[in-house]
Amino acid sequence: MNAQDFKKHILPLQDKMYRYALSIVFDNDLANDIVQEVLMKLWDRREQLSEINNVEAWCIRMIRNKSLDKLKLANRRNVDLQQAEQKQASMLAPDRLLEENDLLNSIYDLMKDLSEQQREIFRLRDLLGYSNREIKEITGLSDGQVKVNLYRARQKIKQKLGKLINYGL
Amino acid sequence: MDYNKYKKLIEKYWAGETSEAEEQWLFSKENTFPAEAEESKYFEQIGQYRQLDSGKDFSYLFADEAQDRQSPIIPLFFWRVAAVLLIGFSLYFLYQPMDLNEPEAVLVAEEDPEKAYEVTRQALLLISQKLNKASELTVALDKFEEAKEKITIQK
Repeated sequence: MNAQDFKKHILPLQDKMYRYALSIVFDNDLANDIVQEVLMKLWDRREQLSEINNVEAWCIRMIRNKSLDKLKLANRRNVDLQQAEQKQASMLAPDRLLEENDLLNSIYDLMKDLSEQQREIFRLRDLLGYSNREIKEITGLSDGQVKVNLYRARQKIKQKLGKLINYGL
Repeated sequence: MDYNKYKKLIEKYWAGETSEAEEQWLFSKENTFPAEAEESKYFEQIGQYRQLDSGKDFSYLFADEAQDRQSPIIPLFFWRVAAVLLIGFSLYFLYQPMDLNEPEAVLVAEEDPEKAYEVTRQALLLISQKLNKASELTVALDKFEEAKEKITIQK
């Protein structure tokens, strides 16, 4: 893959990669760092990319691995959103960042009771919009496993929303 | 879409049976019903998340195609040539001292034995002449030493 192909096929994935990284680390700056590092790595290996069947799935897997490495490294499995919020507020962040932070808070709350596999399927299907077939390719799970995990993830979220409605929790 | 259809679609969603197009429709900001406020809010948030962008442009990090074509070829070629030259010079200097140390007489002897004999004879003659000269000087030195001793005794 030459520079032109890289710009045509890989760079447009940047925002998707960012959203995916963000749904794992819940930190805007860290998510951007991850995307940048993965893009640089892909750039260095661009000549081998044409040999890969599904480059997008490959990129998403790289983002996942890098995000998990970063979390491990920083020992911040579940990022303290309150701390992130304070940090951004103290920097007088623009409205967009504050809105994004509220949104992240909500998404984080919805996901925190899911199992890791359910969380992964929820990220890929609902937050990134991948089809079950694509999720299968990215995760290596079977069709049945993808469907079951998606069903269970949504049921848990539905229950959570029900509790919010009924008890205001 | 009327409320009943919306409600059915939501049920389909929770059962994990909606298509991507139906989900896209659900997550759109316009398709909300006040009666399902919490669920509508949830779908709206998912829709908002799907619109998030990194706010950064990383394209400046990557060189253009012209650079891309040149960069991998020239350095590789350069290093190959440099490696070949290095090996060549190393081999040349490794064997060079052996050639220099080889005695000229051996080379001459291999080419023409008579000439070698003549060269050796002349060399030995030269050495003998020098030795004769040296012995004459030694006699003179002995005389000088004897005179020096006599003077010392007289004193």
